[in-house]
Amino acid sequence: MSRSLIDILAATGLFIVGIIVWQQGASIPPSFLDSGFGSGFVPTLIGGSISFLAAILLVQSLKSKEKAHVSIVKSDWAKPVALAVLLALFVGNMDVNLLPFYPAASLFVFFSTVLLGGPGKVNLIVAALLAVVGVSLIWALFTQAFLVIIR
Amino acid sequence: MTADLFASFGTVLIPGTLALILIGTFLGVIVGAIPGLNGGMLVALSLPLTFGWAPLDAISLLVGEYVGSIAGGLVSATLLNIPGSPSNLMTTMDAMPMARKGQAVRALQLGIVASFAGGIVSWLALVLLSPPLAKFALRFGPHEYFSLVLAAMALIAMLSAGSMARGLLAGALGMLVALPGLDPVTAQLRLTFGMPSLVGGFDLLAVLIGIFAVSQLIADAAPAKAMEIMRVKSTAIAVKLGDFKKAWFNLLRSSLIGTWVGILPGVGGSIGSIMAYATARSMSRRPEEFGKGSEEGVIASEAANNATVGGAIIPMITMGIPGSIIDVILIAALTIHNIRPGPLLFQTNPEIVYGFMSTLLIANIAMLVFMLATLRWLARLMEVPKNYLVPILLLFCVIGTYAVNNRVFDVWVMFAFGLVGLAFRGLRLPIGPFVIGFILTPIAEFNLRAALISSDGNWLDFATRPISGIFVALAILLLTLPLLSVLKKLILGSSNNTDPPAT
Repeated sequence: MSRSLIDILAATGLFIVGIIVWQQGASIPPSFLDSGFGSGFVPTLIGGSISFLAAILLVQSLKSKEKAHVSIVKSDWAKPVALAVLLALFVGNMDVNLLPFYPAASLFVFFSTVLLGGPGKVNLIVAALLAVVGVSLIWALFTQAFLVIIR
Repeated sequence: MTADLFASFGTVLIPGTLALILIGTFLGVIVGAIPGLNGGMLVALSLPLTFGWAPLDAISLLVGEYVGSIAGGLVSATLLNIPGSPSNLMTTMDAMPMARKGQAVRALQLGIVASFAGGIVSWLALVLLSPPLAKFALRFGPHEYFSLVLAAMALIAMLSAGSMARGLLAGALGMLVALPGLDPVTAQLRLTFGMPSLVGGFDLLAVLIGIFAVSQLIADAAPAKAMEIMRVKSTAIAVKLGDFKKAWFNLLRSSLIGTWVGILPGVGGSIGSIMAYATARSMSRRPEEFGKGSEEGVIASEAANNATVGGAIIPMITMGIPGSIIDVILIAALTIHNIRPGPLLFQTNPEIVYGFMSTLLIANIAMLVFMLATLRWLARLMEVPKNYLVPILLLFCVIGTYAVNNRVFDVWVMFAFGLVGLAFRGLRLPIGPFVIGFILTPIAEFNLRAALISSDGNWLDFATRPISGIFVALAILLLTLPLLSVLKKLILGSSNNTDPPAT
């Protein structure tokens, strides 16, 4: 996907977001405290501004479409995307409580380290050590020193 | 004032608080020196640890980290040709060429002493300028406050990397994120889309950790290119007092430029460093050496970027306007402790104001001693594999965010804003205007509505009140000049979209 196409899609999306915010702001009914500048006043202004600025970006992107064709290299994003998925799974587990927090944290650290460093023998050992020692230290720091209670 | 300042030194020099300043500076230098990690990330991640502390202790740690991280970026700029933070960008131009000539230690030591000098000049500015500026800001009413925020947003958008439209769009998106929840004036719900968790709005810290730390850490997971690392073989003193006698004017000028740029709302060390570097080159007797290992270039860049730290604290404590992105997090730290930065801070919490001043000076001294003493070990930080740091730091992000309200929803918010930060990088939208728009919107909205109600909806009052009028004129000037040029380009069909990548 070229950079200009990404810009066009993003600008279009942000234009729509601005319209939605503007519409939401305009639909807030006036309260009895209202003196003409109620709850919807600033959202309307900001929604309008976002749409206007997104429209400028859209025009700029359309104008430059034929000139800038920098392809995004997919392989550069493979590890970040995988790490984001691992993080989402970890946070999701906090929501559903399938595993207790600290064992889940150990698994997250282990798999993230293997993902970033590769499945070599040394990296596997370091990942396991980090998962146990690192997470234990964090447990001690937060639960014993700073009293953050996590299930 | 002098008595308050001396009393403050007495308070922060007790062992516990002093230790926090030293730890903060130490951590800041280390994080600044490791490529891919930065001060904003460190300060945001440390904030949850400080919830239960006395406000002055929290400030001691965070200011130490701020000073250390800006100075620490010099190490990777010199040895790796990668600026540890955007503030060290210009340092790479000459420090790395010096290192290639076998003068790595000299470049580092010049940079460290220049950073210290910049820090001291900006500390003097903080001490001397803050009280009169706060007194002046007491005259501000709702009109003036809103106009000031407007001018600050215009300035930030104009000076942020990339096009001005992108800067303004990022700022507007930051303002949007501040809106959901209960309206502070009428207590009506808005933009919650039926989600009960959004009634209190997005948690400040969840947004900041997401956008600063999570996005950076996920981006760091991308495979790094192989890089040339310069070695530090000896850490013997390679600079003499005479070197600085020759460079005193450059040192002072660059420090003053950095301090002045720091005072401008939201404009960080990178702009200060670029301006000081350009000025040093234009006034140098040997401009041809710049970019090839000029000592003047290293001194100008490093003095200016550290001077922005003290400069940036001035608008924060006197007007509640963040002078840099890291100041946004410092404002969050004060807010968490129920302290509202602004002109009344001198009356309501003088210990905080003078605490900033004394901590800044001690942190600068600690930075000088620590960096000069540990150069060889700092150089080894270039070899720390990020594979082992990223997972642990992400875990810190999760726990730190959860600790604020004990809500998993906030952790999802952090994750979502981590993705938003990545999207901003991809779309070349600058993060600075976003976070500053986010933090300033409650002030801007409250004052805009109060001003319009008090003047019966007359918008002209913003222009006719003298102080407000100056800010409005400045905002209009900043906004219209580049927009006119964009419109001209669009009309002539010559827009070529050659914006540099956003930082």
